[in-house]
Amino acid sequence: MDHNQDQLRRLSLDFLAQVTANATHEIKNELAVMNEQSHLLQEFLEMAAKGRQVDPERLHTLVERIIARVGQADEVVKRLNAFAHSADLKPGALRADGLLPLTLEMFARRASLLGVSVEAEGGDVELPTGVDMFLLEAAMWYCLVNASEAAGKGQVLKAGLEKGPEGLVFWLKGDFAQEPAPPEAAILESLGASFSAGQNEVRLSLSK
Amino acid sequence: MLQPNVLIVDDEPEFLETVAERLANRGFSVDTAQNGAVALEKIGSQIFDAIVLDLMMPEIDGMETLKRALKKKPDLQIILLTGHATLQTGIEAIKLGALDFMEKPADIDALAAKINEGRDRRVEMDEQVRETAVREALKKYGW
Repeated sequence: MDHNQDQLRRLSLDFLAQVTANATHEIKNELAVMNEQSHLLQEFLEMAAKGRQVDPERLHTLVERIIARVGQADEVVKRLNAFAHSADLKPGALRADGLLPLTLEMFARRASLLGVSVEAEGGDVELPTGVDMFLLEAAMWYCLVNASEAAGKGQVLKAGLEKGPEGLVFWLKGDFAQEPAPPEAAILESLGASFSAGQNEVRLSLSK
Repeated sequence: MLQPNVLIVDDEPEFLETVAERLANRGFSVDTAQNGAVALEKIGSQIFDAIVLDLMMPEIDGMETLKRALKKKPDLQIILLTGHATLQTGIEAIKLGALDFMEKPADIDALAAKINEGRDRRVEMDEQVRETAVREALKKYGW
């Protein structure tokens, strides 16, 4: 295995680990909340069994909250599943209007920990045929991480996918304290992508 | 003896609210903070027997809050609560001066016992400080 392939393999695993760690933390967080809420519910029922007055509205609210949390945890699982399947989709099966929200939703928790938020802009763009979806997602992920770190806390970044003269472009806009670093060269080379960054914009261009 | 007063710090509002209610149902006096900055403000202005601190929080994370809190008040009894406890994180927290660390979801009675342990340790430390002060005063005046 040559150096570039070795590097690419390491980066792919790193990306996969970051995405799964992120999602499992989100699920664990939902489970922790549901655990507390269901135990509280149990405690109320035990109080009621001992003859203490328990407000039915309070029980109703708790159950509603648990149901909502189940729904949120399910969203995380669906997102992780969509990500897992995005790598083996046929060209054209996942469009940019699906890719961008998926990537941003996966990144939301990490963004929050970095003290930024990222909003999607723009509409539907067809992805070029033959693009390696996993590598594209990895490149977008590292652009997001590096741009968020460069932006600093409290910033709202804008993100979009568009068709430029050079091909598909993933861009990020914000006020960066320093120029965001590019994704590692092995990813850019394998994807056939170029990267440019300034004080206000990051562009990842797919020329293939 | 009065029930301990405890500050719970977590960025997840429903978790915070529910744990606070469960501890209050057990007789604890509970205050909450949704981030490290608010927690540090409360720690600076109030006396708590124990702090239950989430590790993963935006902006000032749990480990940083722990360091800053102990710098303000070295006798604070901090229990680090984390969704992904590793031995390494726990050892680091204890080396920094935390009372202990627990993995989420923590058993509420185990958490309550740990808070009580924190209160007892703080009371003991206060007594030691008072005894030392009395001994020094007696020595100073030759009694």
